[in-house]
Amino acid sequence: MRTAFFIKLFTAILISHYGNILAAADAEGILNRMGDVLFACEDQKSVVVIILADRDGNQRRREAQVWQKGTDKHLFRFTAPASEAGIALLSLPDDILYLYMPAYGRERRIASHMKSQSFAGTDLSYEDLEIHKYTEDFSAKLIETTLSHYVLELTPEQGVRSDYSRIVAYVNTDHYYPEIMKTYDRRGQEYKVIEYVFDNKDNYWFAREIHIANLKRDHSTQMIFQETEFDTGIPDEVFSIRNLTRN
Amino acid sequence: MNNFSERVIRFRYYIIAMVTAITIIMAYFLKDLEVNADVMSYLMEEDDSVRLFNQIGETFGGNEVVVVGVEGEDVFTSEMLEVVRQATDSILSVPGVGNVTSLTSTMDIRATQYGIEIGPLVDEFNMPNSREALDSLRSYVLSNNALRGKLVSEDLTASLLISRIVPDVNRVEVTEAIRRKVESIPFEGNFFYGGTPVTLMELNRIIVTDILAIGPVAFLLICLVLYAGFRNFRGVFLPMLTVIVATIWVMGLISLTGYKLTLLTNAIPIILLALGNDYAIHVINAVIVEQRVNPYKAMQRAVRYIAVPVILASATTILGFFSFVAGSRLIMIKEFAMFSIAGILFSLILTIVFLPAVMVVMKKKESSPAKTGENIFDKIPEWLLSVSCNHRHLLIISWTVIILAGIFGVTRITRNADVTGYFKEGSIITQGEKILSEKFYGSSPLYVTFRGDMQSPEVLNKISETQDYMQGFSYIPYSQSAADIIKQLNHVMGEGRVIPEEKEKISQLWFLLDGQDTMEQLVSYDRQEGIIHGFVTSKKLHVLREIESNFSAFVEEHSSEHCRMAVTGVPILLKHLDDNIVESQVYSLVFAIIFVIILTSLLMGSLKTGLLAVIPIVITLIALFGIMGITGVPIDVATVLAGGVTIGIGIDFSIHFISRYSEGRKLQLDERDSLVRTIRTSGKSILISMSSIITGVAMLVFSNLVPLQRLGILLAFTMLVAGMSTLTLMPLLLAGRNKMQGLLKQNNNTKTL
Repeated sequence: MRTAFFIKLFTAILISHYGNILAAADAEGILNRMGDVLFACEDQKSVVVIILADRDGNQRRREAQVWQKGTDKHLFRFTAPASEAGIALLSLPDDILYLYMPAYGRERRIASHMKSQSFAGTDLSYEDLEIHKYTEDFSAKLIETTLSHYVLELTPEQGVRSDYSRIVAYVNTDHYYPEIMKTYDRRGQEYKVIEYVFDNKDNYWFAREIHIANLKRDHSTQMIFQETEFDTGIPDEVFSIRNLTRN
Repeated sequence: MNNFSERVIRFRYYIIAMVTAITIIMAYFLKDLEVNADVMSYLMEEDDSVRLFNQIGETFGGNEVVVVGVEGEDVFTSEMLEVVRQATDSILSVPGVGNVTSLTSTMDIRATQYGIEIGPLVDEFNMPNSREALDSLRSYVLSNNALRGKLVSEDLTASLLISRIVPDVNRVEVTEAIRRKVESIPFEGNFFYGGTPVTLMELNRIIVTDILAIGPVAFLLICLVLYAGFRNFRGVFLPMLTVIVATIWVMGLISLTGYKLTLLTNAIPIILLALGNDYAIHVINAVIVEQRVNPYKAMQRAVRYIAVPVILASATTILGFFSFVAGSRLIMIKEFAMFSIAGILFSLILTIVFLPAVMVVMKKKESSPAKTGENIFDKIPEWLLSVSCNHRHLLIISWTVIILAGIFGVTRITRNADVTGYFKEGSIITQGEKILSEKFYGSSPLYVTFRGDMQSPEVLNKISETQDYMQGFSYIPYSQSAADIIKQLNHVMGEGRVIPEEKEKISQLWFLLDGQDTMEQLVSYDRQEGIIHGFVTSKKLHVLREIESNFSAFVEEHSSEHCRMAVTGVPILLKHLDDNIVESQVYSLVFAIIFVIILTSLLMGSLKTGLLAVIPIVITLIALFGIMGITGVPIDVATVLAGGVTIGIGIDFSIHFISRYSEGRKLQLDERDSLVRTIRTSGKSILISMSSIITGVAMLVFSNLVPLQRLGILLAFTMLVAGMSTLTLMPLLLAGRNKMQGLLKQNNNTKTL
């Protein structure tokens, strides 16, 4: 399943302040709680502005409309720049990914063993998009508790394929959403630093902004979510190939 | 000069204290001395090709590539693929490595039953283990021009890992770390290395080991020569003291002024060891001679007499080296010349100020007088003089034969700008280059740059046309560009292996490629600039010439308003290096000879004497280039120095000879007596000096760098020729044919002169 991490984040529901009765919870409990926050809504749609920047400060800007339902159905349709308008990516359960390029007028399926590849030029890989897998495939260890954060160390379970040897997550103690994730590559070197700005709407916590610094590429990505709406009853038809190819 | 020598003696303690203080300060700066072996710094930065090459490095994530090769029996075995995977992982863990292209990391685009695949060629999480999977990978690689010969050798026994070094890091340290990591992987086969940073790493290592290993050996051998010449402690200690002090000063100066030790400045201690001794030997010998005549105020007289020829000799040597500053366009040669000049000036100052001061102090403390018995350095000049007198015709015939052989050799002289040829057989550079050129496309990149919209069909088609043109040359078997990748993607989209005609299609293909490391190496971030990376297999001069002329013409002809093209790369830079070496050679020799004639004529007060002084040197130069042509020693970045250095040092022999002869004439001695006196004083000094210089420069033969070895041998040869031609021809030239007759008869009656 491919699940856009940022989609999950901005659809995160508000966890009541009473949630902190779990203050004494163990690491796995905190991780599960984070999952609950991130995947609280039924569906959501929004507009995302993606700003990419290289080491010299050169920037590229993209915009897309995003639809998401559950944890494993997503549709991205790019609207800007004009040369990329209409390009669409459809992510379905069981690692199925389709790409539609309007200039070619047909869809193409993209093979699945590309987890470490960049998603649409951003500093997020396809693996980063599957944040729900952290609760399934990673084991957690609470390494520190501060006034504002639970600091979790996530390591992939034996046999799990991951680009990361570990992830250090700073989870908000009040609302259980992640604020910073530091990822380390398989050689143990710091790889990406992902920072979130969470907001609350309709009792859901969601990431309003995500900033990813790729330390290896010396490149960064900023994602700004706008016009976010929750539980609007997006029909399944939206996540079909027919809809994908509708220009 | 009277006042000067009196003052030196009066202020001797102040002089010694001051020299000691400066030496301590300069020695302190030695700790900061760094090494820069960057071969590209040979070229001036205003060279457009150098500028473009550097710019490519900045725009496309580094032009510096470290190539690591894995060689075994068959790449397509799970064991070797695992070694490639481990090596890729290990190299990626080295800070400063931007990316690694290898079988387990390279981007591959293909159409499969599931759709498009854009990702690593080998899934490192699911390495092929079964025979079927390995055979399938083998077939795929063999059918793919982008992989065969580039990442896997044609014979399938070796595979390459190509790492790019990020800008602004210490490339040598990164390369050393890569090598350490790779060598720690257990593997029964062979690892080999290539690329400019590896060459730099080896040069750096050799520069340091050379200076530490050759210096002391040369020092000891020169001590032996000096002892053989003077037969006392002072004759060894004093010249070596001035040389050591001068070397500390000049090395401290290099560090203090922020320069770094290079392949050439590395040789300065050896040059100073040879040259500094030369000056000191003449001073000490003059003192010994004056003491024999009259011990009273012998030092003052010696300094008064010897200061002028020593200053003159060092001035001509400085001019010899200055010819490189004026005549060379190569930064490294200019730096070498500047610091050699500084070293010569230091040696001169120390010889005429510090050395007499120390001698006076030592004289009081050391009671034992210098041994005055004759030795081989007394006998040889006299024997040579007798040869000049008795076998004049044979002598003239011999030198004529040498000149003719030299002229014949000059016509056969070759050049070499290939840096990899600087290393001895068996070094990791020569081993790596051999495998890279035999089994792969070589490691010498040729870049054609395109400035224009990389999403435009016109520009991409131009790139494609240029690649077609490039591959028409047998020595450029493979090239890589964004156009290749766009064509491949268009192919998997079902529209053929061509550049799409619509710009929209290209833009949308770019979307798929965004963020791929490979694309960042071929297209700038703003997509307004792209490159073709061609691989050139040969570094032969005619290939470099062809590449420069053909591609310069091609880019000029095909550039348009929408697509501006340019060409650069290692072959072009090597060609420019070669042009500059030749230019440096011609101009430096012309400058050196003109400077020396003018200076000696002015100081000797006669143009005729100035011209006479250069005759032995001109013969030596003919012999130098002749022997280079006959033995196949090419003109390279180090041997190009041999001519200028020979003029600078060799002219000293003539100057000392002529000075002493003129002084004798001023003392109302007749020509024959002057000649005999000259042979016994300056002749001996020239012989000791020649022997110590030969001993010093010959030590370069132990260098691990082939050009420095050659330079050492050539300089030893030229010093021998310069010394011998001065000692045998100068008597003929100065005294004339008639005066020489009967000279020998009187020779035995002039012992007291």
